[in-house]
Amino acid sequence: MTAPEHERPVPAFEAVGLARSYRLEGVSVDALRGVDLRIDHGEFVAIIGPSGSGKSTLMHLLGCLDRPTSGILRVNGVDVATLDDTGLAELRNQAIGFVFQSFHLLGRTSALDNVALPLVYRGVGRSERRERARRALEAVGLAHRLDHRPSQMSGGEQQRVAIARALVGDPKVVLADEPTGNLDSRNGQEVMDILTELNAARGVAVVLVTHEREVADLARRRIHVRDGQVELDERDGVGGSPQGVSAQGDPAAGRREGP
Amino acid sequence: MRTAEALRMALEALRTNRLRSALTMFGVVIGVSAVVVLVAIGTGAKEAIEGEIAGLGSNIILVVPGQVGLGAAPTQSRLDLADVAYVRRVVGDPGKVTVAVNSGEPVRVGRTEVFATVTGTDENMPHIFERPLRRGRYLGETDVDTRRRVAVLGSEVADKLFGDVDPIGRQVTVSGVRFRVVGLYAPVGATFGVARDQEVHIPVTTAQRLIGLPRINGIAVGASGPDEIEPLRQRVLQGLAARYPGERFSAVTQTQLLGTIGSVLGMLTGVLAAIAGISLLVGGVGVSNIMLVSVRERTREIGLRKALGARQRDVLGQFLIEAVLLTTIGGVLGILLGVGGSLLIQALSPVPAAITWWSVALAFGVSAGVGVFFGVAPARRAARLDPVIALRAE
Repeated sequence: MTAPEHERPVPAFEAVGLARSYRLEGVSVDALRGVDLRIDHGEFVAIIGPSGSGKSTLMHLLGCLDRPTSGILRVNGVDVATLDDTGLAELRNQAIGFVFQSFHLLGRTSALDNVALPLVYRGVGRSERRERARRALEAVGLAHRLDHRPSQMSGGEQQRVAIARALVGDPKVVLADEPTGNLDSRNGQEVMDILTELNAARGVAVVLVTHEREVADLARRRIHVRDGQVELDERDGVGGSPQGVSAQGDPAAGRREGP
Repeated sequence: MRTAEALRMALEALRTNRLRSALTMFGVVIGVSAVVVLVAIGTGAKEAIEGEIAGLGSNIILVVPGQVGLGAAPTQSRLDLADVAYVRRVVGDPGKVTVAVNSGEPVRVGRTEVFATVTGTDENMPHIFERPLRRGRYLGETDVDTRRRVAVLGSEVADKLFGDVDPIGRQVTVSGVRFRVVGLYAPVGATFGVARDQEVHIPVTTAQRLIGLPRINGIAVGASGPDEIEPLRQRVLQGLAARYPGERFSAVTQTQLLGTIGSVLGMLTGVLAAIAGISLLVGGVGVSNIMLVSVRERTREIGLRKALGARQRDVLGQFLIEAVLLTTIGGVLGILLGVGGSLLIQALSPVPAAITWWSVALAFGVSAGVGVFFGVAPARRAARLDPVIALRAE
């Protein structure tokens, strides 16, 4: 983010005219209608919008869980259109860590093995997996919960396990979908603290999707999505944004119309 | 993903749903054990019958009028003792040819009466058919020539009629005619359900008079070795064809009998195995069904795994291995149960059972194959799930 314009590093995400439509019972629904977006490594971004705004769709596209109907999406400089399903799976595995609203932990599996799961698909051996998972759990303050199952932990602890799982593969980006949505305010705060700390200490880009204003305010940049388009892209001015773009002046913000 | 990891995952999943896994496996267990047991019984029956045929005496050619085979109508015999003499000339060695006239007749001593197979034959019979003597003597040439009323008793007949008393020299009444017992055969057991120890042998000439017909039922020719059987058979058939142009005679060898009966029993075993195979198929459908339910239940898990980087082949492999594990564990249990069941049947009932390695190998192979075949559809469904939709599933 401190690099000058002419030698900007490869961004974590770069979207040009990103659109996604669904067919629901024969009717075409445009969930995302031409989004231009650039998120650099190390950023802390909140995607905020009311339900049905298309923010979840955007999140799924950024997470390579879904493919755009049209437009270009580059993740770490790789155009996702050039990847087959296997390539997308490997990209998810290598580059992205997910944190979900409902935690999505395997119920009958210990915290340690839950955290180690992404490494299974990377072909990492069992002992190394467990060692790395243990370190990831220690990093979120759960060194004492290694062998606990999700049902034996509080919601906050479960979400911290999920964060450890997102971190274990050393991803470039953590995508968090309403990470505090199922938590009380104290646990929610704890999870946000961890994400903030993660971003600051490790330089991992954090992109979180939320509809809560106070959660979004913890991010240094807030992308407001409405009706499938970026309505507003605002950054905290304090030495953060490159070339000091104001929200209204950002060329990516809400300029492009849907197809 | 490593294979060991996939295997561990699958075992974990099966352990998670213990009861369901056990019940699903049960179908395969029943199918596999049915295959093993039924094939064992079929094979056992075949071996037992072949053993009995072999016990008939080696290298014997049975010459009968008409055609012998499945579905052939029995033919009225037209052969008589002149034909026997003719066959003797054809064969060249009179000692290798014997004759049989069979009739079921009551045999009585005092007030004790048994029903026995009375066979009119000659002095060559016990040598060709290997019937060892326990006491007394065999029928002799003079007995046949002079139509003597003498008899050699099978061991069971002698036991019933005389008990512990030595029958040699005593009288028996066959169909109202008195015979003197001159010999007693050693027990030889049953062949083909024919209780040979319940036979009474008398001279063939005497038997023809007793029955009132000058016919004989068949001629038996003993070859001196396996290599001689076929040429001898041809010679006898050609000789009879020359003597009775246009008529059919059959010369059945032990090998032919073995072949015919073997193929019938092989077919029977095949049918049994097929029936058992159907139950294995039903077990496979059960596996498929449960795997589909499992995929549906674990949609969220599949979505999560995909989000974390599981490729289609990882998910496919996971569910396929689960299905194959279900059926192969079921297969191994089924084999154990089938082998145990066969041994139990063998021990507790007269039904013979022979466990064959090929039926065990086949049952195992088929159960693994059933797992792959019936696991593919659910596993593909899992592998192709859209991660976004799968993650949102209830």
